[in-house]
Amino acid sequence: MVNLLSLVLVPALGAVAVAINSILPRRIKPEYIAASAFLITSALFFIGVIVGFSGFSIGIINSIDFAFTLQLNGISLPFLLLAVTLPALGLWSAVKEINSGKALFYIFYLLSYASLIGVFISSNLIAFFIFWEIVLISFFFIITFWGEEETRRKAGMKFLIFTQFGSLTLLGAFILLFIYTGSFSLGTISSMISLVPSYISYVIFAFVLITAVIKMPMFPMHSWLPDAHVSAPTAGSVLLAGVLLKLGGYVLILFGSILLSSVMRSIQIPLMLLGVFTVIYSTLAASSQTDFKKMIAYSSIFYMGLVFIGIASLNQIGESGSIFLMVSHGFIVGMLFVLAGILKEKTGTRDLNRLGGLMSKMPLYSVFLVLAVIATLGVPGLSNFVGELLVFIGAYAAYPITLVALAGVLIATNYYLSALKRILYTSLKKTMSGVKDISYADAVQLSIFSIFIIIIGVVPIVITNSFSLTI
Amino acid sequence: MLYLIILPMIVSMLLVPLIGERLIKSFKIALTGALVSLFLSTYYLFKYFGNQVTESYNWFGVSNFFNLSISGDNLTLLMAVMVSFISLMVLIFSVFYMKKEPQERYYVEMSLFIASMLGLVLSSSLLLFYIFWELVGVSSYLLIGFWYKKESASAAGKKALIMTRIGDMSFLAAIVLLFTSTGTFSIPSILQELPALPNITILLSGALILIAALSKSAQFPFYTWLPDAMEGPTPVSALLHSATMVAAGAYLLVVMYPLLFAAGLNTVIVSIGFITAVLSALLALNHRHTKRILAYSTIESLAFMFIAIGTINTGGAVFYLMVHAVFKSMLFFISGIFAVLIGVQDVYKLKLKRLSSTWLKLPALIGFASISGLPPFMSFFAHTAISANFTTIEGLVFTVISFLTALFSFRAFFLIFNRKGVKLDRKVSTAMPIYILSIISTIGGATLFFFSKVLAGFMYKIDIFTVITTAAAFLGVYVAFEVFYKDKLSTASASFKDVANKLMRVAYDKILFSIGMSFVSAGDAVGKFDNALSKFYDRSADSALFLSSKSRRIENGNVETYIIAILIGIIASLVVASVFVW
Amino acid sequence: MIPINAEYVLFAGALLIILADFLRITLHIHDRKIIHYLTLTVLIVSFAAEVLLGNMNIAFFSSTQYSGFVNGFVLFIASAIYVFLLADTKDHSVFIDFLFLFATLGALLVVLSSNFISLILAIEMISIASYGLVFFHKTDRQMEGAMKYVSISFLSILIVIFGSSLIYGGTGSLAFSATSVKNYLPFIAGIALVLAGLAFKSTIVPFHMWAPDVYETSDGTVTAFLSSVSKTAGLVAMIRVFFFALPVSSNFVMVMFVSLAIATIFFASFMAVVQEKIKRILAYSSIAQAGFAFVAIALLDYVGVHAAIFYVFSFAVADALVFLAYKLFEDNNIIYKKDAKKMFPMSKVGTIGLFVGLLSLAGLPPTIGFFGKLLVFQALLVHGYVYLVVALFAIILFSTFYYFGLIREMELSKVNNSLRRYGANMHVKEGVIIVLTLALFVGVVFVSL
Repeated sequence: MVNLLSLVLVPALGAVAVAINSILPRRIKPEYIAASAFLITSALFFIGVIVGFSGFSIGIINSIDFAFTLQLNGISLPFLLLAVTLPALGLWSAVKEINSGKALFYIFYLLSYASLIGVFISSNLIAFFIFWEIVLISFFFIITFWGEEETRRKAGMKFLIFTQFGSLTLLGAFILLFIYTGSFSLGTISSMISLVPSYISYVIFAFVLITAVIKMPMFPMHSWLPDAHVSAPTAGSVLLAGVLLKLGGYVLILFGSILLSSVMRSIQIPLMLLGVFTVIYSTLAASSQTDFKKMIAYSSIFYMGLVFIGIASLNQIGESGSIFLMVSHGFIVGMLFVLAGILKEKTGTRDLNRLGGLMSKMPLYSVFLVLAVIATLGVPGLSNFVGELLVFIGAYAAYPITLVALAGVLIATNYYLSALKRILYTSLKKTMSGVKDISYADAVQLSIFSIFIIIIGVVPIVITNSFSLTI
Repeated sequence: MLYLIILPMIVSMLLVPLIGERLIKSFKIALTGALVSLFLSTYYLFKYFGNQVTESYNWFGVSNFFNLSISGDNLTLLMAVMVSFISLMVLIFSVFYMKKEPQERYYVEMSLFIASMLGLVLSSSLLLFYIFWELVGVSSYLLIGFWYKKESASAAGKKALIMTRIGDMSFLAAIVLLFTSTGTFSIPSILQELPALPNITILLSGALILIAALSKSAQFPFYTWLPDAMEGPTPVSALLHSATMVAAGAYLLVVMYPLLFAAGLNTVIVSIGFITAVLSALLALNHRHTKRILAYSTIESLAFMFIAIGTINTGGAVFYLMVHAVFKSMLFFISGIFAVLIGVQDVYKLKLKRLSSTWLKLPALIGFASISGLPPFMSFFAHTAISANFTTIEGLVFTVISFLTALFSFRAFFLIFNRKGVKLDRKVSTAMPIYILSIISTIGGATLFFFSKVLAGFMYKIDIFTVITTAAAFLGVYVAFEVFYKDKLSTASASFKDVANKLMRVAYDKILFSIGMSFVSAGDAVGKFDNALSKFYDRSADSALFLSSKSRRIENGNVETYIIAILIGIIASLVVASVFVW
Repeated sequence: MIPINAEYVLFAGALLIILADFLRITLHIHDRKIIHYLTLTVLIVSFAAEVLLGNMNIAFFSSTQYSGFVNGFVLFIASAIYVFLLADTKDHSVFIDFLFLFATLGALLVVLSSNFISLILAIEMISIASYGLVFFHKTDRQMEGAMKYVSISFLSILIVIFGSSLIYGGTGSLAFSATSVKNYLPFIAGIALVLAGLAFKSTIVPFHMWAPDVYETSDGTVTAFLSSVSKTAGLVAMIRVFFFALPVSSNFVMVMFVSLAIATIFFASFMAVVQEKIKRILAYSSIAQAGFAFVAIALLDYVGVHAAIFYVFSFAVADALVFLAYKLFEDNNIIYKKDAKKMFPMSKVGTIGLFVGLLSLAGLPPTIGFFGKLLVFQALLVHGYVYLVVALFAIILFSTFYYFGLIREMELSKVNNSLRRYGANMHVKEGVIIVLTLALFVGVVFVSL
């Protein structure tokens, strides 16, 4: 049995190691420390999946029920998969892009890694919130200090303000739960949830909803996302879109559809409509983008909109679909951002108007890009299809009009194919004649992404059997 | 073990990138695969003839089980045989045609397509059917855009996928509806439950499936992608865009026929079929490029299948499907030879090449005659199957269509094979498929009787009406002969036709273009709005800053100000205090 | 056996300093360091005394359940500040030591007061001592700050005295334990005035206006002292007067308190956002923190007071840390926000200390600042003030803006080795900073107290 504490401790120790290493006279490259931390944690995770996990708990302050308790809940595992693997996969991009202040970067990277894992395995809400905030702060620093020069400060601050507001509302919800059930422990809360008076449960849900709307993000609190992605370094984007956004979905499922389902049911229709609106809005906005990374960012909002619809459907198929889609989207969007990063690295630009004909110069890259694009469009055999199928079935069962969201997939097809065409096909621009194909290491990184996407797509039971919709 | 039919092509798809060109030539891998598939499908056809065998696999379960099943019965196995046979022919031809092109990419994509198509025809689970339906669409996209450096090819691939995706989304919606109402994906089970479903569900799902079929089979109003798809290599056009993929739409309707019947959509199907047929025939008359003419004739042939389905003659549609696959692919091969050996595909330019003395003339004659449905070729019998259930009006329209069909086909024939002089190379890879297919097209008519026993819902009729239709066809041949062979251009009718067709084409294109543009503008509008929204957030932050900076003046460092503030504070609290006392 | 209370130690110590200095001068020992070390010893001994023995109950002073804790951390912070002062380049006169000790003593006594007279005396003790401290370096700028401080402080003390007399008129007693109100009008008026006076010390709007200027002009260590110890005294005095003492009816007082608190937080955050000088940003942030503590006090019940005490502890430590860390840089002429990027190369420890301190002030886990905010929110939500909490969320966003605006200027990713200017005794100072930083994490254990 693998103890859950190790999953958090190893990266945290890694961060400490990087810190200590940076003041030693003879230093190892921090990348190596980070890489070993990632490898060990991933190995522990996969071993744990096979042999089982054991929880960990120590009380810290009993008067306010702050105990550091780590335990898997019903839906933890799929998210944990994302949290454990994606940052590890993004490491290579970080190694390529981050050249100044490396030690500090890897400290933040490892801290956010530990905390992302911590969020999904905390069953004490204070510990949960502590991890949540650490993720946020680490991210703020990653964007602000290592992002793209012109936009990073503003984008980082925007990210911070928006998501911090979401954090505060989440804290408010947690405190209210504590006041009325007497505990910050998830297990206790779920059994005592009936003690919460109806009015308060609406307030709690409103708080959680605001957090989710900001984090996932949904219209109208989504404006931070495109800016954040455009400014962030590639590894940051992979983490951000791959895992951070899923935090919103996670809290909404946990505190909305599992804990407070009756509240959610009473406003189900407006929620589904919000989802559909976000889907259509974001996909239309995406189609007008000329920066490839910004396009992917808007399409992330699109997929999270579908996830939101799935969660709001409040039936087993829809909820399962939303979790599945989150996992699938995490890998696919991670791969897309890595591809966008490589594009910028090799050609110097992500502007779709200035690219063209790269297939002839970068054949190996093209294979991965085409794979990623058809994956994101939900072609069967790759992971997004099952997620979308489940979400649509669930959504239709709840509120038929939501099938309108299918139109969003059509529009997405259009702009993704256009982007593909503008990047890979037609004639090579003269400025691009010196472009080289991806390296062996890039190919390995992209292949691992692809393997996950294909396996989840062809054998969906690896995900569908890993969670149950309970605490 | 039915999945074994699909397996060889999947293996080919995986092996080609790994060992193609390095150890073994890619085409050999693909050919072997297709051969094995053909063998296996024939074997299973004989083994399960007259019976039905279903193999079902549990893909995953979320409250319900998501089941994938394939079944072998007369229909599915016949289709499998047809698909693997034609694929084999196409692959043989590809050896010649694609000799100078990148091999691995082509054979991988082709293997993907063939595997998906085989899977599609064998599926008895709507979910599995859809999976292969999408995969077929994706491989089509990749293959059309094979020569990616050409702007027109890439654009055509994109257009094809986007237009067929409209159908895909409809299909998905229909699946969602049906699954929610019946709890299963299995086609036989769904069809069994039909009586129990509410009317609105039947109507909606039927309509959505119809839309899916229309888009995949390039019927009105979704047809414009198919002529553009001719940008792909000729073997691709032969396999995908005449024989197999586009037929998948008709096949879907055949399989889901009871649903469409229950939804009362027969008349709609027939009407669309006729409209498309007339439209495509007229448009074919207007085009000069061989492949485009063939493309429009494919659209027309597909329309015939739809008409047959609509007149409750699904067996007839299937028979025509198979017949069409044979002769159409052969015609594409011929045009492919033109492309490679002569470098020209415009019929008027080909006229100058004096091809009438080549070995291609006879096969071409068989081919074009087959398009027109002339006896004694196999397609004549297929036409009798199509028109089996016609009412008088339908029959009349069909007659006119026959005339037009013959007219445009023989226009092409008489223009290409106009003068004598040149001899062309004959290779095994080109001659073999063409000869085999020609022979089948000629003598295959006898299979009519076989098929009528084997396929469900098969009808054919040979009566006075058949005679009239055939006569109309021969009339068309004659007119074509006069006008195009002998160069006697009846200027008035010719120019009228020209103008009418041009108008039709232009107007429709304009409509499509504006629909597309409206989405683009919608996208731009939303993009602009979102930018404004984002700036709004930024500005509110800035305005807060602005307000703050303006209020800085309060803290001016002046002690008097501070004391005044304190006094104000004191007075205020005293006032509040006294209010309280009251 | 006389119990050795911290207060006695301090008092004796202060007198001892005078004597010792007299001796020193007589013996012609020019090095004043001995006296300084002596002062430090006094502080540490009194800290030990407080921790080990605590409780004092004489005349007008009495302990309550939290006073031990508050006095404990006050002494801890004061010691830390003093060490820093010790390590300063320019030597200071013994008189400063004396004032320092008395100011600290005054703070301790304020916490322990059980009577208006003792309260006034204790406040006077802090105030007068800090007048001198503010004028530490005797520059013109400091003169200006000191003048403002003195004049406004005088005014506030007068108000408190007058208010106390009115309360006497209303209740007939100056003790905090007076329970019956005989005459409401003077009583309520007195409350209002006492509130005003104490609000001055606690930098509550609109009585805070001296604070930014005085904080800015004073020496870093003195600012640290004012913003942590002095403010603690003010706030705890408020708690003592309005919660433990007077039978004030809740509604009126609560509404007034809450409005003042919100006004404080809002106005201070508002102003902080536009500041360019780092020290002023820190000053306004300190004012906003006081407002936050005051919101909890405003609830006037046990939960609120408990939250407020812990919150005061958290921001006192953080403020001390922040101002001390900043002093490291102030000495090297980093004044404006845009110069913040020079901090990291100059002193890594200092920058990180400042950084963590700001994080704690912003309320981020796992520092005690977060737990403080957690307790305050909890207290508010128990009472059901959901809208108030939401309003606070909005204001916290403001504060996030200026805290992180400052943090991001530190440019921690660019490692620039060219600026390396060290002051004297850097290691000692950095040591203090490290201790205070650690306190920000370890302090969590005190949540239950």
